[in-house]
Amino acid sequence: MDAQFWEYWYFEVPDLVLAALIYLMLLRAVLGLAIPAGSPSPAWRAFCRFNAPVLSVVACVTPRSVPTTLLALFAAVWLVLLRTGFVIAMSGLGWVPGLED
Amino acid sequence: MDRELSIFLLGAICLVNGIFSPAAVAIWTFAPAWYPGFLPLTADLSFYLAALLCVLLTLMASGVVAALFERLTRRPDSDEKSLLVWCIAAGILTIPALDRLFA
Repeated sequence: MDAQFWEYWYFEVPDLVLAALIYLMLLRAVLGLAIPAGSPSPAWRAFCRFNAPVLSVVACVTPRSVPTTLLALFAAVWLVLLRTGFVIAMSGLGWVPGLED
Repeated sequence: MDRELSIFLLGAICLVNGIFSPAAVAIWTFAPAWYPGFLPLTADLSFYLAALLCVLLTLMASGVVAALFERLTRRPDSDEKSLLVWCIAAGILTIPALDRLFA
């Protein structure tokens, strides 16, 4: 992370966090296809516990019939939407690196 | 309506909206904002991903209506009525796409 990253930390840090969450949700969706829901694997259970807060928020606005794997994909798309809105809003304010020049 | 038929109808409506909706063009326009960095930014790939994103957004946005219906009516699980609400909400979102579909 270079100097520009910390100079624009108010954009870079949320953008990085949202990107990490998006890829985590996509990973959960892909792994959910291969690993059974009640798998006793400690790594899988820890991974699911880590993702649970995001999934529980998305589950509030998703019908109950949607399985967890598809819910993770929905969460990824909601996060993409959130990140896109964040980038557009920050671009409008001129707070994105490289747009001020 | 049969549960499987509702799910099939929902998928078909979302697919039509994803392909023919004016929103897909708008999503494609903003591709640099959401496009994954590890994929090459080509016109055809970005258009296909924009259409796929539009399908998913239709499914999710209409799902919010169905989810609110389930919470307000205190249903323990999804049933035929909530799936019907989901289909109707997806159909309403698909109205702008009908122009291009039947043009």
